[in-house]
Amino acid sequence: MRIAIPVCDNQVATVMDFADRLLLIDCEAGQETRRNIIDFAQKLVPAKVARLADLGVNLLICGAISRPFFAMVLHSGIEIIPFISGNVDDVLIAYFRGCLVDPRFLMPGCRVGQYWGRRGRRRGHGGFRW
Amino acid sequence: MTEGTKRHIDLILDSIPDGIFTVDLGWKITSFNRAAEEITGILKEDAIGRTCREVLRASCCEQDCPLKEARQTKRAVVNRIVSIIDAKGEGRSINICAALLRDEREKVIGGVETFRDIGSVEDMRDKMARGYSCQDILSVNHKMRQIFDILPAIADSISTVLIEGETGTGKELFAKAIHNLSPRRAKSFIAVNCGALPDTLLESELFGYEAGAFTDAKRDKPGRFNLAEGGTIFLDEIGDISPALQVRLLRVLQERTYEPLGSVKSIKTDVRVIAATNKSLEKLVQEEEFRKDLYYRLNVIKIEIPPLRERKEDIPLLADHFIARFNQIQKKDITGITDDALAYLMKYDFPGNIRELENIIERAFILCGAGQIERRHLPELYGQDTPYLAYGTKRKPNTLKEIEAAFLMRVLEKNKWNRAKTAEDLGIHKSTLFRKIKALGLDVPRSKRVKT
Repeated sequence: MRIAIPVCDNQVATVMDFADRLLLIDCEAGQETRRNIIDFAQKLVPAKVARLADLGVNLLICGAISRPFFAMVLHSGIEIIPFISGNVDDVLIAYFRGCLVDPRFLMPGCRVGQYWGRRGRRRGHGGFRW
Repeated sequence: MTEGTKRHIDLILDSIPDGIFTVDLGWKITSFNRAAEEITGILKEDAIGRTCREVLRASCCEQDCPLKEARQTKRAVVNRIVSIIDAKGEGRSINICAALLRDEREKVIGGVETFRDIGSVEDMRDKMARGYSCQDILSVNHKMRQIFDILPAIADSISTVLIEGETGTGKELFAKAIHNLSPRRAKSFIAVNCGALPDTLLESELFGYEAGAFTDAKRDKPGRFNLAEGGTIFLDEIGDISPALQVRLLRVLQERTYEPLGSVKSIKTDVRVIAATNKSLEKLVQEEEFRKDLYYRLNVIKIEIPPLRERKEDIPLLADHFIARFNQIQKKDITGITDDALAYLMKYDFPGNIRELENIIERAFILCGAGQIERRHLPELYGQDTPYLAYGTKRKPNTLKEIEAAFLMRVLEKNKWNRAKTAEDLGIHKSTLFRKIKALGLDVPRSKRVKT
């Protein structure tokens, strides 16, 4: 499984749409096996989504994201956990422990009830809808 | 600060239509007004205590933070246009200003950001999609939008383009747009004003020279064609070049080769030529001042840019555009133009076209400190021969009949009193025009012959 997180200085980048660096984490059986940071400076949203698909990303954990970007990611078969903020390592640990949807990782203006287990339905997280 | 004073300050902040928030030295939000809640979609209680980047979610937050800049430069940052993603996931554009907060001893205790919603990104995309802009060119006029539609196809071809338009209509912008849309965009765009250089100098500028070609030519100098290799050369005021240079240019267009001054070797060139003129080349050909064969070589694709007086619907859009641009350049906060001032501009014919409108707005920026540009900030635009004065008088027309008379006289004068051409211009039959002239009692001078 491959997880992608847009990053800025070891923090989850505030807005997915404006992020230009992407952390890729490969994991097996809930354990991180490899990580790699890549340039993600595509200008257009469809190009960003296509890049995510080309990279074989299964799950995108990101900060704020525009509605069209969110819809495109979801329709390309990539699971998404948006409106997450905080230190990347803390976020990953919380994800593997199944407790990412914790108020301390949620951006302001987001409620836990806003999250819906739309795809994947893993413990403590899932898809999202507005 | 007492609780009462704090509540009073909050009331004041909430009554301001611009979004305002303050942060402490750790970038944590300490106050957040009602307009900020509306623009970001985030409630005050959710925002307080969180970092400003988590709340504002702007394109500038991580690399170009205005508050950081204000802290580093110790100066306020004003009128920066950035995009944000609100709580609903909608992209919006905001105009943002940032400044430092200091205590009574001038010690920095945080920062304040004010921001104004400019509109949703979708609105802007809609405008773009409806063809209101192409590269840096803005227009809502149907003729201009027809040009926008064909511009990508023109850019894709390798054909020579001739752009005709009055001075100040933005011929170079069109040439740049063609270059930027073309597969040649990675290579150079070289603009040459053919009217600005004497003939001999223009020749050496275009084709370059070799050492020893003339006195003081100590080294080889590449010409503009050489610099534009693989890209685009824009030859402005092409109607002003001499017959001798016309022949040399014709050879470049036909053979795709040229010789630098003093050289015996031909150089092959792969440059796309875009020529422009504010004259009618066809007319110059008829008057035998421009070579017919060169005209046909240049006139493979012709773009005629309508003057601003024929697309007055663009004036509000262009005025807004220039106001936004001068706000950024001059670090001002002019909020727009009053209806009265805009109506005054709309009545003017702009012989200098868009450049003249730009100059008028620039002048208004000097006179207008803040708020909106008003009529008093604009120059006196109308002379006594304006069509909006009753013809032959210095007063404004009072009646519909006088307005019609003034308008007819203006069009007749433009067509050198030729009734047939005037009727054609107005889209009415010649006999209708004669009837109107008679009914309005116009004293129309005899016609000077105009080719129709």
